[in-house]
Amino acid sequence: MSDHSQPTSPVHSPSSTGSPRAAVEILEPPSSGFAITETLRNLGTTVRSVISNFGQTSASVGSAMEVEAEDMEMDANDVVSAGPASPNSPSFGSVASLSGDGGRSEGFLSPRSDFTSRTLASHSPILAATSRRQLDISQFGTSRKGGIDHDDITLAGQAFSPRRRGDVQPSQSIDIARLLDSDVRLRDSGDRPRAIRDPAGAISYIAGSSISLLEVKVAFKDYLENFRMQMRKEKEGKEVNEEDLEPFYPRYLQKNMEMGDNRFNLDLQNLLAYPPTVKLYHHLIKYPHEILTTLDDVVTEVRPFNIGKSTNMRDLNPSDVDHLVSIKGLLIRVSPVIPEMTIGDQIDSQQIRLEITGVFRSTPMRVNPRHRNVKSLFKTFIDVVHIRKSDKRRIAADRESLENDPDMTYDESDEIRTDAEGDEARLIELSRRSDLYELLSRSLAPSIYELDDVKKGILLQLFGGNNKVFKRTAAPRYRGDINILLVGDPGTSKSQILQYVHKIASRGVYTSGKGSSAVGLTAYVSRDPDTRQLVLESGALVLSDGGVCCIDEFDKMSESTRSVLHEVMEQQTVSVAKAGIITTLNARTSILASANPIHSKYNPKLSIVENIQLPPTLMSRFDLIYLVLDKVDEHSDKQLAKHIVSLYVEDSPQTDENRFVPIETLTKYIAYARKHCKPKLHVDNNEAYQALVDAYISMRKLGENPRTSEKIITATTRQLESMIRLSEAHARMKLAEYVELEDVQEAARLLREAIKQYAWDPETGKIDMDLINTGQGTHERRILEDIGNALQELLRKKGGARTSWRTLLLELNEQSDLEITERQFETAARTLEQQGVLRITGNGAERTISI
Amino acid sequence: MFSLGDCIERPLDIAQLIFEQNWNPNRENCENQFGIPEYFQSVFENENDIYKIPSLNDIPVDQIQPNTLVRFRGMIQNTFLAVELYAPVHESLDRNGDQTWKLHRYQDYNDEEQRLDPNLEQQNSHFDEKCSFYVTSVPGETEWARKISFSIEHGFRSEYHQGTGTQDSIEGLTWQTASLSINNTDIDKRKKRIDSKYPFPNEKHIGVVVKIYEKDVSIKVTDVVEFVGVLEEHRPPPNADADGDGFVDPLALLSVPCIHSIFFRKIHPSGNPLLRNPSIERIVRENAREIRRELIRYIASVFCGDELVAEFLLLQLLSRVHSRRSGLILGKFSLNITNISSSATNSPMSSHTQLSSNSPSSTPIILTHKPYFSSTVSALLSSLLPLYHDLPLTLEILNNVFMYPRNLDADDGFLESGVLQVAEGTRLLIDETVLQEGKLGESGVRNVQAIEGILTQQKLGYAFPFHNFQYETDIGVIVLSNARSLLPCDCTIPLSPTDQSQSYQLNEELINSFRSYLSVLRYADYNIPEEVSLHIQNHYVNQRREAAKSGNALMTQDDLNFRMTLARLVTLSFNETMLTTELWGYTQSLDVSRQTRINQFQQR
Repeated sequence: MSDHSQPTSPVHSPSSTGSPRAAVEILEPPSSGFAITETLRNLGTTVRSVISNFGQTSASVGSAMEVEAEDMEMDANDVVSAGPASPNSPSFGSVASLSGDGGRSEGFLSPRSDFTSRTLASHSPILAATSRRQLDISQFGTSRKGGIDHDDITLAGQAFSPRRRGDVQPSQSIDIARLLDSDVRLRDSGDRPRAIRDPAGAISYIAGSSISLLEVKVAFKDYLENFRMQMRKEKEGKEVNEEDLEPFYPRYLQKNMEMGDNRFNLDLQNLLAYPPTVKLYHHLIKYPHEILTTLDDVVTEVRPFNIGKSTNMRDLNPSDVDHLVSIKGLLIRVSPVIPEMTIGDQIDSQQIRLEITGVFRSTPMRVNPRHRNVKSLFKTFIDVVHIRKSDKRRIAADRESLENDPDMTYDESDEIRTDAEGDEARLIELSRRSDLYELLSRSLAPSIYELDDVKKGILLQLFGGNNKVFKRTAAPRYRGDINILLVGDPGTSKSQILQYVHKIASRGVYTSGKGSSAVGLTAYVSRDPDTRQLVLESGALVLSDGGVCCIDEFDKMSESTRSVLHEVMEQQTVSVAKAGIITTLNARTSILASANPIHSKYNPKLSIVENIQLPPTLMSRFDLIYLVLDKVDEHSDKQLAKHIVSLYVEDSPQTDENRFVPIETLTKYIAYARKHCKPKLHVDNNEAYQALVDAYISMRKLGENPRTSEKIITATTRQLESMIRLSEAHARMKLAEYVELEDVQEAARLLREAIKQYAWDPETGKIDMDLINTGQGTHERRILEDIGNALQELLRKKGGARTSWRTLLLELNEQSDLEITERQFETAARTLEQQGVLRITGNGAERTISI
Repeated sequence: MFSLGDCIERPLDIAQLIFEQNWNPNRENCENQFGIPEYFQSVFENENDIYKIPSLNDIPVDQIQPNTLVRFRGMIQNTFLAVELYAPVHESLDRNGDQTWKLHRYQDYNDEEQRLDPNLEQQNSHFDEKCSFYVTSVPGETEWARKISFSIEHGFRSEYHQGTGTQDSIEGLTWQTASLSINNTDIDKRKKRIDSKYPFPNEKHIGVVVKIYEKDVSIKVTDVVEFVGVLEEHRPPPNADADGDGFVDPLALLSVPCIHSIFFRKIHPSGNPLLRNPSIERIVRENAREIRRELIRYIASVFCGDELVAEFLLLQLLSRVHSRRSGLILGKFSLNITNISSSATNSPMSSHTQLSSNSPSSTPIILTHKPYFSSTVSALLSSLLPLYHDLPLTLEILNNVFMYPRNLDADDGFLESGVLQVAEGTRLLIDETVLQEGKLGESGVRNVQAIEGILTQQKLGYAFPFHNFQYETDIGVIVLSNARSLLPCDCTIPLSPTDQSQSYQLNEELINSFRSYLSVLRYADYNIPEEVSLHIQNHYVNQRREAAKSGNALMTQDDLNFRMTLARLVTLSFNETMLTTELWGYTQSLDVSRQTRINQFQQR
């Protein structure tokens, strides 16, 4: 949408939404059809609307049903009298089905609408009832930007017609022998199909096309007899086993019959894999009404699914009207089933991801539901033919009935697509850059100066670790999402970072701690205005499932609200038990929170834990806790000032292209890595393995210090898990297959750096403010390592004797090409001290160092 | 080719003639404009010639012949109100039976004409689209700005009607014409609908639908644009209930005048008509320092002689958002003047609040300041600024008036305006002193959020049924409050009255120089030389080091940002284009004295 076109309404121009083909065009023969077509066009809308009205009322008010039904019948008769010449056409599913009763009249007006009778036809117990029900499906996640069309699509299954499939054609159920024995001979010993005799004696076509219904039937039967799984698997490059060489469908039908199931799930990918039916596949998508009714003559209740591409709800266009479409969404509401339950399973009101295959249809809106006037605006809905839960692990009914479930993984429609081949090559090239880590972290929130390590942590958070399920030990799922807490002085751009992440995360929700309630974060139960039924509405955490939830002002959050996070952050679910709904919702979200220290500003006189003052239960759930302190440091202050001043200089060439990756590339890269790369920790990689263990043990040791037992952030197994997650994320960033030593080292460094452990005096639990600098890059780290080594060397030369701080610094500077600042020297010395290599005694300039 | 008078009186005939010259039926290129806008633009190249076109801003619509050329200066309230498909070129037979081609641009389709030639098969394969924009009179345009632009356009000949003059009568007449042949309840309903498209409730204004034929239109909402085009014949609006087909074109229901735009031009964002005089910039620049001094004295006379507040207010009036870089909005400068109630001793603490509590529903809400002090500040600002409006922050207003534009019904695409949907550069004076304790409803909360959005992001969210779209804005906000404002302002300064009896003598020339000064310097160039940049860096580093030593609060990134903004404004106010170390020092001292004052008031 261009910039200036925004403040318009999201409504489509009404003229373009109209049904492309009038319902009656299917009438045959055309010669007698014209006049009637006109009449029907005029009356059709009215009658249809009455009928659907009938459907609605019957669903809600039982008594109103008869009244409306009479009304409808009258209308149907009107039509009959208006078109007495309606011919007894032999064409399938058309006027021939006209009879006086109300239900049939619908079939008369629109052969395709007979189709509505099985909109509910679903394999899943949720919908396996034959009465009408509405499903509201929402787009996954929150809509943050732009697009507006069809945000809310109502799926209306109108199964009020007396002609239900199972009832009407019971004799046609699964009798394979009969099917194969039918008088329509398909093939004559491998030859091409011969002329076929239709029982009705004439050949019917779908109006406005050259598709012969008979051909369709023949092709379909041929497919049923001859399709072998091998074809599909070969096409997809999968391994073929012996069973796949056998024709697939006879076995499938046999099994269906044994199960007493008369639903036939038709995987359209199979149809595509069988060369003679490729045409049928396309026909089915374009003329679902006609073709499906035809297929129903061959086998009962054909339910096509897996079209191969699912349309985003927002992308449904007028051109899709009356075509077979497949959409994916989150089931948000199910209207109650009123009469005629065939299966008594209770509705699972949990939020379910569904993939729905159905016919996209539109019906004119009415000005008033009680009047027959219609607007030229159309309400769109989907006549469902097939529903399945997108999440493969959850598939229940469908998988039992169909082993050949395609390898479909749930993919979010609001993710950034990385389709183009060139893109992929570019991303892979990017992944090979040696300074990848620095580059990406620098490109993250470029307006925020410094805070390199925070940015690195957030970068890893965006990449995320692996979700793990250990089947062998039956352990629960281990989360791969990384949670980060930023604690720091006011004015250190914490909120800005949060805002930035919120904007670029594939699904980000931003809340402020003070303004959030426990219910607002998780989920709440409310009464639906339409159906008077209790419904569950998602809160921020559930909405950010699969994304990042940013919580500002974490410290100002009330205790009770915060406690909700406990479950979310470890189990990654939200359990709701209120008002008759007991369920567990997924909330696989990373949390990025920011908080101020207990007295608004970091108090160096208190220990870290006292400053942060969060319950340890919660604190241990954060993988990284960053202390972002406003520390006076001449160098970085100057850099910062320079940065800000340059912003005010008009058109300054500040942003160097090579130094930053554009935000689009960054998000694309992250999306690509998340999708394609799942790095593992290899058992054989002893180095990485050992490094993890060592880092964990050293962290545990810090906690063991008896004098500080109360004040210390004790490492638990959670920290070990954090480290694994971070290493995985780091490996994923490099698009590597396995976690290497380097990844583990970086993860351990980040953990240490985050809480400023290197600057932390374990004796007092306080931070040595002189040691804090927030912007230490790899380059500097390398220098520091070199300095450390050189220092050790130097001390060793001196035999480990006490040497004064200053002398050492001077001597080192003499050796070195680069100037070593006092700060660098101090950091290096401190690190060595912590490693137990050397000892520092004294204070300030008086300090001496010895081994 | 054609005289100016012809162009004004018979624009459609002239368009037809130009069309015939440039049209080639075989080429079948209908998106072509046939050089018509270019031609009209060349005719009205001279500014004074444009002024000869009757303007809907000055003349009531019923006094202008339909199908003549008119112009209208207004703010775009809604872009793409509707997109119409039409046949730009139409084939017909003339009396001799010859085939002719007729241009159907710049007028709405005429049914009768089509019926004239039944013999012709209508095979019009050429279709084009025209877009309708809804344009209102510029919201917040101050009295003097209107007056001056009127007198410029009419060569100082005609008299501008004072006070409730032309504007009122025009709008009254607009109403009369709009409501011909409709009954009263309809008028009420329609008036309400039209009123809701103007940012400020219950104020007189003109609304016009402009149809634009150009493909590539760069107009955004809240742009101020002058359209020149053909006035459509007025038609009574269709009666919605009579034919009962349920769907009625929302445009037709509005029944406002309609202009078919031939060409348009954007008005300079300052909106100051004085700038049309090209020599004004030179005059301002030559006397900048003097004007600055006088202007501060003038402002201070209203603020009880407080020159520091006056200087900050002056800087506020010079501010604008000059760039948005990687999430930072540079140049925004909202000012919060605190300590109002105690200083404005001579204000008999507002009869307004009593009024509103007595009869909250019966009197229509009008956004004007009632307390003595804020109304004097309001008078000051409206005497200086071309675009200015009051915004008293009472609970009643917060709960009942909408601050943000919204489209409630997805079906009709009808975008109602909100107080904050104003043109770029408009100043709002928010009076928080009238705010009392009470319940803030849901719309009140949203309103406060919208104001906060302006203050922090300079972005205004337009509420659509299923989403919220954010537009960048540039609205200057000055908040008057007792204590620190509840709104997040960039700069807070307490008022410290010194001498209350001071008054200031004004003359026309002086006040005009003030007006030009503010408008010219607000858009002046600015740069920071390298050495000053270094100086600032060192200054920052040193300050932090010293603060750390003495244990004072550290200067943060935000503080530096604020001072950079301030330095820019100070530089501009002295008519300089380069920041110098002296100016930087001056900025520092200014901010320091502000902070000392804040500390003084906190201790009190």
